[in-house]
Amino acid sequence: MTKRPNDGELERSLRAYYHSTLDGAQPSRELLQTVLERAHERGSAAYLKPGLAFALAGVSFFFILASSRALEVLLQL
Amino acid sequence: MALDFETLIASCAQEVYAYLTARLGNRFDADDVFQTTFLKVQRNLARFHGGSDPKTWVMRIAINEASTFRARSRRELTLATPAEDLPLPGADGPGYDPVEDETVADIAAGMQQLDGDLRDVLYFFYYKDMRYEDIASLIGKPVGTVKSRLFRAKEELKSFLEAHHDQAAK
Repeated sequence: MTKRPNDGELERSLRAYYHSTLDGAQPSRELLQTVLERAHERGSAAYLKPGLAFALAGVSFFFILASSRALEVLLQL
Repeated sequence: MALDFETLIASCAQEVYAYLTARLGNRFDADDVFQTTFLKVQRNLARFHGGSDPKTWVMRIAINEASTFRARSRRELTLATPAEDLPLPGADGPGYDPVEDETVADIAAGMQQLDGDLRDVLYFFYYKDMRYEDIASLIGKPVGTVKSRLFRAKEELKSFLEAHHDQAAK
Protein backbone atom coordinates (compact mmCIF):
# COMPACT_ATOMS: atom_id res chain seq x y z
CA MET A 1 0.00 0.00 0.00
CA THR A 2 1.71 3.20 -1.13
CA LYS A 3 -1.41 5.39 -1.32
CA ARG A 4 -4.75 5.68 0.46
CA PRO A 5 -6.07 2.09 0.33
CA ASN A 6 -9.43 1.46 -1.28
CA ASP A 7 -12.20 -0.50 0.45
CA GLY A 8 -11.19 -3.83 -1.07
CA GLU A 9 -7.54 -3.50 -0.06
CA LEU A 10 -8.41 -2.40 3.44
CA GLU A 11 -10.87 -5.24 3.91
CA ARG A 12 -8.29 -7.80 2.75
CA SER A 13 -5.73 -6.29 5.12
CA LEU A 14 -8.17 -6.33 8.01
CA ARG A 15 -9.01 -9.98 7.48
CA ALA A 16 -5.30 -10.86 7.21
CA TYR A 17 -4.63 -8.93 10.42
CA TYR A 18 -7.39 -10.65 12.36
CA HIS A 19 -6.57 -14.13 11.12
CA SER A 20 -2.86 -13.82 11.75
CA THR A 21 -3.28 -12.40 15.23
CA LEU A 22 -6.40 -14.08 16.57
CA ASP A 23 -6.72 -17.50 14.97
CA GLY A 24 -5.95 -20.00 17.68
CA ALA A 25 -6.11 -17.40 20.47
CA GLN A 26 -7.53 -19.11 23.48
CA PRO A 27 -7.34 -18.77 27.25
CA SER A 28 -4.56 -20.75 28.88
CA ARG A 29 -5.44 -23.76 30.99
CA GLU A 30 -4.11 -21.90 34.05
CA LEU A 31 -6.44 -18.96 33.37
CA LEU A 32 -9.47 -21.24 33.07
CA GLN A 33 -8.45 -23.04 36.23
CA THR A 34 -8.09 -19.73 38.10
CA VAL A 35 -11.53 -18.57 36.96
CA LEU A 36 -13.16 -21.84 37.98
CA GLU A 37 -11.42 -21.81 41.38
CA ARG A 38 -12.36 -18.19 42.08
CA ALA A 39 -15.94 -18.85 40.97
CA HIS A 40 -16.06 -21.88 43.26
CA GLU A 41 -14.70 -19.86 46.20
CA ARG A 42 -17.22 -17.10 45.61
CA GLY A 43 -19.98 -19.66 45.24
CA SER A 44 -19.08 -21.19 48.61
CA ALA A 45 -18.85 -17.77 50.22
CA ALA A 46 -22.25 -16.83 48.83
CA TYR A 47 -23.67 -20.03 50.29
CA LEU A 48 -22.14 -19.31 53.69
CA LYS A 49 -23.12 -15.63 53.90
CA PRO A 50 -26.81 -16.02 54.89
CA GLY A 51 -25.91 -18.62 57.55
CA LEU A 52 -23.16 -16.42 58.92
CA ALA A 53 -25.44 -13.38 59.06
CA PHE A 54 -28.12 -15.39 60.87
CA ALA A 55 -25.61 -16.69 63.41
CA LEU A 56 -24.25 -13.19 64.05
CA ALA A 57 -27.77 -11.82 64.52
CA GLY A 58 -28.50 -14.61 67.02
CA VAL A 59 -25.30 -13.98 68.99
CA SER A 60 -26.03 -10.23 69.05
CA PHE A 61 -29.56 -10.84 70.30
CA PHE A 62 -28.40 -13.01 73.19
CA PHE A 63 -25.62 -10.55 74.01
CA ILE A 64 -28.11 -7.68 74.26
CA LEU A 65 -30.48 -9.84 76.28
CA ALA A 66 -27.73 -10.86 78.70
CA SER A 67 -26.52 -7.24 79.00
CA SER A 68 -29.98 -5.95 79.81
CA ARG A 69 -30.45 -8.68 82.43
CA ALA A 70 -27.07 -7.84 83.98
CA LEU A 71 -28.01 -4.16 84.05
CA GLU A 72 -31.34 -5.00 85.68
CA VAL A 73 -29.56 -7.02 88.40
CA LEU A 74 -27.03 -4.26 88.96
CA LEU A 75 -29.73 -1.65 89.33
CA GLN A 76 -31.54 -3.76 91.91
CA LEU A 77 -28.46 -3.91 94.11
CA MET B 1 -33.65 -21.71 32.50
CA ALA B 2 -30.92 -23.29 34.60
CA LEU B 3 -27.44 -22.74 33.25
CA ASP B 4 -24.41 -24.59 34.41
CA PHE B 5 -21.43 -22.27 34.86
CA GLU B 6 -18.81 -24.76 33.79
CA THR B 7 -20.74 -25.72 30.66
CA LEU B 8 -21.18 -22.06 29.81
CA ILE B 9 -17.51 -21.21 30.24
CA ALA B 10 -16.51 -24.23 28.16
CA SER B 11 -18.84 -23.22 25.33
CA CYS B 12 -17.80 -19.59 25.00
CA ALA B 13 -14.36 -19.16 26.58
CA GLN B 14 -12.49 -19.13 23.29
CA GLU B 15 -14.88 -16.68 21.62
CA VAL B 16 -14.78 -14.29 24.57
CA TYR B 17 -11.00 -14.52 24.82
CA ALA B 18 -10.47 -13.76 21.11
CA TYR B 19 -12.78 -10.76 21.40
CA LEU B 20 -11.00 -9.42 24.49
CA THR B 21 -7.59 -9.89 22.86
CA ALA B 22 -8.76 -7.91 19.83
CA ARG B 23 -10.45 -5.23 21.90
CA LEU B 24 -7.80 -4.71 24.56
CA GLY B 25 -4.83 -5.26 22.30
CA ASN B 26 -2.80 -7.60 24.45
CA ARG B 27 -3.17 -10.89 26.23
CA PHE B 28 -2.19 -9.59 29.63
CA ASP B 29 -5.25 -7.32 29.83
CA ALA B 30 -7.39 -9.90 28.07
CA ASP B 31 -6.57 -12.35 30.89
CA ASP B 32 -7.66 -9.78 33.51
CA VAL B 33 -10.95 -8.93 31.84
CA PHE B 34 -11.63 -12.58 31.01
CA GLN B 35 -11.61 -13.28 34.75
CA THR B 36 -13.83 -10.34 35.69
CA THR B 37 -16.23 -11.22 32.87
CA PHE B 38 -16.77 -14.80 33.98
CA LEU B 39 -16.96 -13.89 37.66
CA LYS B 40 -19.73 -11.45 36.74
CA VAL B 41 -21.38 -14.16 34.66
CA GLN B 42 -21.32 -16.46 37.67
CA ARG B 43 -22.71 -13.75 39.97
CA ASN B 44 -25.62 -13.06 37.62
CA LEU B 45 -26.26 -16.58 36.43
CA ALA B 46 -29.32 -17.06 38.64
CA ARG B 47 -30.86 -13.91 37.17
CA PHE B 48 -30.48 -15.07 33.57
CA HIS B 49 -33.93 -16.07 32.37
CA GLY B 50 -33.13 -17.07 28.82
CA GLY B 51 -34.29 -13.86 27.17
CA SER B 52 -31.39 -14.18 24.74
CA ASP B 53 -28.85 -16.77 23.68
CA PRO B 54 -26.53 -17.49 26.67
CA LYS B 55 -23.45 -16.85 24.49
CA THR B 56 -24.83 -13.46 23.44
CA TRP B 57 -25.51 -12.64 27.09
CA VAL B 58 -21.93 -13.55 28.05
CA MET B 59 -20.52 -11.58 25.12
CA ARG B 60 -22.50 -8.49 26.19
CA ILE B 61 -20.99 -8.77 29.66
CA ALA B 62 -17.53 -9.09 28.07
CA ILE B 63 -18.15 -5.97 25.95
CA ASN B 64 -19.23 -4.00 29.04
CA GLU B 65 -16.30 -5.25 31.09
CA ALA B 66 -13.87 -4.33 28.31
CA SER B 67 -15.33 -0.81 28.11
CA THR B 68 -15.15 -0.39 31.88
CA PHE B 69 -11.59 -1.69 31.92
CA ARG B 70 -10.55 0.73 29.22
CA ALA B 71 -12.15 3.68 30.96
CA ARG B 72 -10.51 2.66 34.23
CA SER B 73 -7.01 1.95 33.11
CA ARG B 74 -6.56 3.92 29.90
CA ARG B 75 -3.77 1.57 29.05
CA GLU B 76 -4.92 -0.09 25.88
CA LEU B 77 -2.02 -1.13 23.75
CA THR B 78 -1.86 -2.15 20.18
CA LEU B 79 -2.65 -5.77 19.51
CA ALA B 80 0.72 -7.38 19.90
CA THR B 81 2.25 -7.91 16.51
CA PRO B 82 2.92 -11.52 15.68
CA ALA B 83 6.63 -11.16 16.31
CA GLU B 84 5.93 -10.00 19.86
CA ASP B 85 3.24 -12.33 20.99
CA LEU B 86 1.35 -14.55 18.61
CA PRO B 87 3.56 -16.91 16.65
CA LEU B 88 3.57 -16.69 12.89
CA PRO B 89 5.82 -18.54 10.46
CA GLY B 90 9.34 -17.14 10.70
CA ALA B 91 11.08 -15.34 7.85
CA ASP B 92 12.71 -18.59 6.76
CA GLY B 93 9.72 -20.78 7.41
CA PRO B 94 7.09 -21.97 4.97
CA GLY B 95 4.11 -19.69 4.42
CA TYR B 96 5.95 -16.52 5.39
CA ASP B 97 4.74 -13.54 3.39
CA PRO B 98 6.73 -10.34 4.06
CA VAL B 99 4.11 -8.13 2.38
CA GLU B 100 1.33 -9.56 4.50
CA ASP B 101 3.53 -9.32 7.57
CA GLU B 102 4.06 -5.60 6.94
CA THR B 103 0.34 -5.08 6.30
CA VAL B 104 -0.56 -6.79 9.55
CA ALA B 105 1.90 -4.58 11.44
CA ASP B 106 0.45 -1.45 9.79
CA ILE B 107 -3.12 -2.41 10.63
CA ALA B 108 -2.09 -3.21 14.20
CA ALA B 109 -0.62 0.29 14.51
CA GLY B 110 -3.76 1.81 13.00
CA MET B 111 -6.00 -0.10 15.39
CA GLN B 112 -4.23 1.60 18.28
CA GLN B 113 -5.67 4.91 17.08
CA LEU B 114 -9.29 3.71 17.00
CA ASP B 115 -11.88 4.02 19.75
CA GLY B 116 -13.00 0.76 21.30
CA ASP B 117 -16.51 1.13 19.84
CA LEU B 118 -15.08 1.34 16.33
CA ARG B 119 -12.74 -1.58 16.95
CA ASP B 120 -15.70 -3.66 18.12
CA VAL B 121 -17.68 -3.30 14.90
CA LEU B 122 -14.62 -4.05 12.78
CA TYR B 123 -13.97 -7.19 14.78
CA PHE B 124 -17.54 -8.48 14.60
CA PHE B 125 -17.92 -7.62 10.93
CA TYR B 126 -14.57 -8.68 9.49
CA TYR B 127 -13.48 -11.45 11.84
CA LYS B 128 -16.76 -12.93 13.04
CA ASP B 129 -18.52 -12.23 9.72
CA MET B 130 -21.64 -11.09 11.56
CA ARG B 131 -24.49 -9.25 9.81
CA TYR B 132 -25.25 -5.61 10.63
CA GLU B 133 -28.48 -6.66 12.39
CA ASP B 134 -26.71 -9.19 14.60
CA ILE B 135 -24.01 -6.71 15.58
CA ALA B 136 -26.68 -4.11 16.35
CA SER B 137 -28.52 -6.57 18.55
CA LEU B 138 -25.32 -7.58 20.33
CA ILE B 139 -24.13 -4.07 21.13
CA GLY B 140 -27.64 -2.73 21.73
CA LYS B 141 -27.49 0.01 19.09
CA PRO B 142 -29.50 0.65 15.91
CA VAL B 143 -28.31 -0.82 12.61
CA GLY B 144 -27.60 2.71 11.36
CA THR B 145 -25.11 3.21 14.19
CA VAL B 146 -23.32 -0.02 13.29
CA LYS B 147 -23.04 1.08 9.65
CA SER B 148 -21.81 4.54 10.53
CA ARG B 149 -19.26 3.17 13.02
CA LEU B 150 -18.00 0.73 10.40
CA PHE B 151 -17.66 3.52 7.85
CA ARG B 152 -15.91 5.79 10.34
CA ALA B 153 -13.54 3.03 11.46
CA LYS B 154 -12.50 2.29 7.88
CA GLU B 155 -12.04 5.97 7.03
CA GLU B 156 -9.89 6.51 10.10
CA LEU B 157 -7.80 3.46 9.27
CA LYS B 158 -7.36 4.56 5.65
CA SER B 159 -6.25 8.00 6.77
CA PHE B 160 -3.82 6.48 9.23
CA LEU B 161 -2.34 4.12 6.65
CA GLU B 162 -2.03 6.90 4.09
CA ALA B 163 -0.28 9.23 6.55
CA HIS B 164 1.89 6.38 7.81
CA HIS B 165 3.10 5.57 4.28
CA ASP B 166 3.60 9.22 3.37
CA GLN B 167 5.79 9.57 6.43
CA ALA B 168 7.68 6.37 5.65
CA ALA B 169 8.27 7.50 2.06
CA LYS B 170 9.92 10.76 3.15
